[in-house]
Amino acid sequence: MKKKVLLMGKSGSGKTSMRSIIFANYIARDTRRLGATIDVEHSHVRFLGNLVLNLWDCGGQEAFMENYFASQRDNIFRNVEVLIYVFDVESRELEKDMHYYQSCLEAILQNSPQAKVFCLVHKMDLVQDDQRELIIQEREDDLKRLSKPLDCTCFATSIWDETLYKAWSSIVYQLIPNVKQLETTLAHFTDIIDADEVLLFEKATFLVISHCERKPHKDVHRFEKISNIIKQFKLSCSKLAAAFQSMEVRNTNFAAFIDVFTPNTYVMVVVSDPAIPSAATLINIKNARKHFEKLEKVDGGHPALTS
Amino acid sequence: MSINSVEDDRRPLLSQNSNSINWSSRRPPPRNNARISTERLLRNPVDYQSISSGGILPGIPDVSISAVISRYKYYSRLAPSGDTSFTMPDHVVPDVFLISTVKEEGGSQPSWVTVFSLWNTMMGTSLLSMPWAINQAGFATGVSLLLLMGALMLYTSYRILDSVKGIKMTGDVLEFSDVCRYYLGRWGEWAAWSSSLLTLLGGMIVYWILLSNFLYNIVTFIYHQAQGRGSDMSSTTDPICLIKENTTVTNSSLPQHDSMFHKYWDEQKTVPFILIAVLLPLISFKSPTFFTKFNAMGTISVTYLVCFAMKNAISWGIHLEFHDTTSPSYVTEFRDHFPAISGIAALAYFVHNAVLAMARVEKHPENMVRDLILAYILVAMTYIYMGVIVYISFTLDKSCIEDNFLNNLKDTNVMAFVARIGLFFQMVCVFPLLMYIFRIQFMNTLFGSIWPSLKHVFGLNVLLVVVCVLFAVFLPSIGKIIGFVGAFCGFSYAICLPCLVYMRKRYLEGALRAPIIAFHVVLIVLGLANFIGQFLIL
Repeated sequence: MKKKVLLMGKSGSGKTSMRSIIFANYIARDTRRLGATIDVEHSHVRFLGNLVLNLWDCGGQEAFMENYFASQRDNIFRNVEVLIYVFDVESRELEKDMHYYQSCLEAILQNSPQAKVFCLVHKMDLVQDDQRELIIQEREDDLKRLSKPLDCTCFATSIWDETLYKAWSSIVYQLIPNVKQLETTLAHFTDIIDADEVLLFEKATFLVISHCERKPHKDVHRFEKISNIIKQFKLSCSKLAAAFQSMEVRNTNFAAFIDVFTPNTYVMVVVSDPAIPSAATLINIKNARKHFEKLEKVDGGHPALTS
Repeated sequence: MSINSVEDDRRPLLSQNSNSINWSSRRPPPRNNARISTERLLRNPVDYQSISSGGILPGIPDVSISAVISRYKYYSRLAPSGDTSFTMPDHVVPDVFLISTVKEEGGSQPSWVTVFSLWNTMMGTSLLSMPWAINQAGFATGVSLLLLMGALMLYTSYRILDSVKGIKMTGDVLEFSDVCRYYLGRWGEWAAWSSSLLTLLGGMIVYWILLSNFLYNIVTFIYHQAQGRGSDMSSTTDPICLIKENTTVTNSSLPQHDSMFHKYWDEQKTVPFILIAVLLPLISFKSPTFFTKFNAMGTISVTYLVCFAMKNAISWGIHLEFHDTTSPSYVTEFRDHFPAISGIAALAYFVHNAVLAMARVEKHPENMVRDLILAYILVAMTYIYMGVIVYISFTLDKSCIEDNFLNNLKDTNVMAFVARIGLFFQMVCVFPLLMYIFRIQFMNTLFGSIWPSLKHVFGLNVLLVVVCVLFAVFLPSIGKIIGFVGAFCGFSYAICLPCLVYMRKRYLEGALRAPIIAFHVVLIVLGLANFIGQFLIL
């Protein structure tokens, strides 16, 4: 049974752009169309194994959409694992936005009370630097209050800085089963193979779930950069109808290996000792893979994630 | 194994739909209209570097900028060309990529235009009062005081020009009141502001009186011409003496049917009020920049007056008598009413509130001092020439000279009539400007905006008009008014403040020496004496 990740928000709040960036989809030419996104049927973006991303415009459009939404409500909100609600920080109709948000929450409470709720206050680059703290604090307080009894986590995001990537990384982090254990095991793994750094990515989005750093690195934005590079490479591969599987980058300073790890993750191992041959690292990764796969399968409340 | 669906993976770079949908139909306008601005900043192209350079562009050590570039590269891959949803908005672009051009902030005015503008600005209504002023002071004293005051005002103008150096601009432009605030604190700024306003007010009052005078004479001339009495008067170009003939002229030479006209058309009693009807519409404009186009009229008027004075002098001849006290042409070298001329001279040479504005538009600001000196020399020459020419050629007793020498000419004098018309129109054009400057200085400092509300502006206009009319009706003696106003602002704005600012500047630099203090204190004392002198000759 496929579980859903609902990406909702008013039309024009930036959901399609967000999806395009996170999931490396080519943006449709007419993103600024006047109509609403009726996207459920088209989006089969799958990530974290069996989660399907559904995009919905929520509130603020023609009566037709309203009716459709109302009639399909139970259908839409059933089997929801995650609700990500996007608010446009520039919106002039705060009351209305909150109202729609609340009705979505009601539907969630009725149909999928176990779902996790995340709120993204988007387009933060349009807010002046000195006002950002204030605004996000205000919004967070309002949203937390409105969301009771459900718990919501708030993020301030913008596609023009690292906040979008970090927010989605946090969201994905919370969705990975057994993530804490994965992290400790990852640390062990890094020590054992004598790597400078090991990163764990989510497969579909290349969002960094976890990392273990043995040698400090001064570029704090490196995760997003690697993510972007790989996603660009994936786009190029897709032009040839090929799928990206693994990559090895080697020069005099370092060797980096990007490869499939578990059904939900990719791993990137950075080794700066030139003496270690590639084959050795690759064997290490292969052996670790079995171990981590077992870790992923063993888990408490979530149904087992299969490929 | 494909993560995404096969359709997603196989999607080409350009969306299939694009060909059918948007080539024919017009693009819908962007909803996020905040993003697209018509004025884009100039940006440098992004230089792609290879990985071997360390992933960080040379010359850009900032990791967040290289992150921005990485995002930019990725987003460009996502959006088909022409789609602006992933175009980096200007406020996100790192400064490194913005092309900044250094623009030369300066004026384009060549030197001679600056000299001419300064001369034009200083040439004011004092021109008409010069002969009277020389009479008040005595011939030699008058001329020497004109020269001395010119030198003094030149020095203080130069001090004002000099004082802006090294001060940070807080607003658009740096004015002398900002300089005063910087060196002397709030009270300095208030002093500059209030003396500037008082000067303007004095100017407006003088203008109102002169406008009433000219209007009166113009209409009287036309009336007399219409009456056909133009040929009655003999030698209409000769000067008349209003003081002596006042009682006889007005009563005897006017036939009965004229008295109706003169009852309703009196220079002091009715014309000032009629002037309200003429001027009130003009001063109600929000922005009278239309009137600045008539600045050229000032030059024409002055030139005309100069030629007119010369023509009169030629036709009247020189009437100077230094020793015979009984002769009507007797002139003294010194009279104890000399504060009149120093007061008038202070206003006559007053350009201190405009000198900074002029310096800003000068093409070669280093020449400003030289231009200032030239302008002052020209102004002094013009005033002295005017005063002396009329003074020495005046055929009657010199004490008859009116403080507006056009009053000494019969209202049937055609050339005087032309002068009056010209001056009338020129003043009608300058008066709204004076009001406007007064209003913006007043409103801006008190209420923070130059148009707080219609009520405020209207109220101010009415108040100023009332003051002007009161003076025109009860005290239409422009010589005295110019003297007072000139002496006051001469003392405060033109002498006191620049000297104080200069001394304070030297003090802050630690370079204040006794001779400098002495010199400037002497100047301030002179200014004060000038001001007090005006009261003494009242």
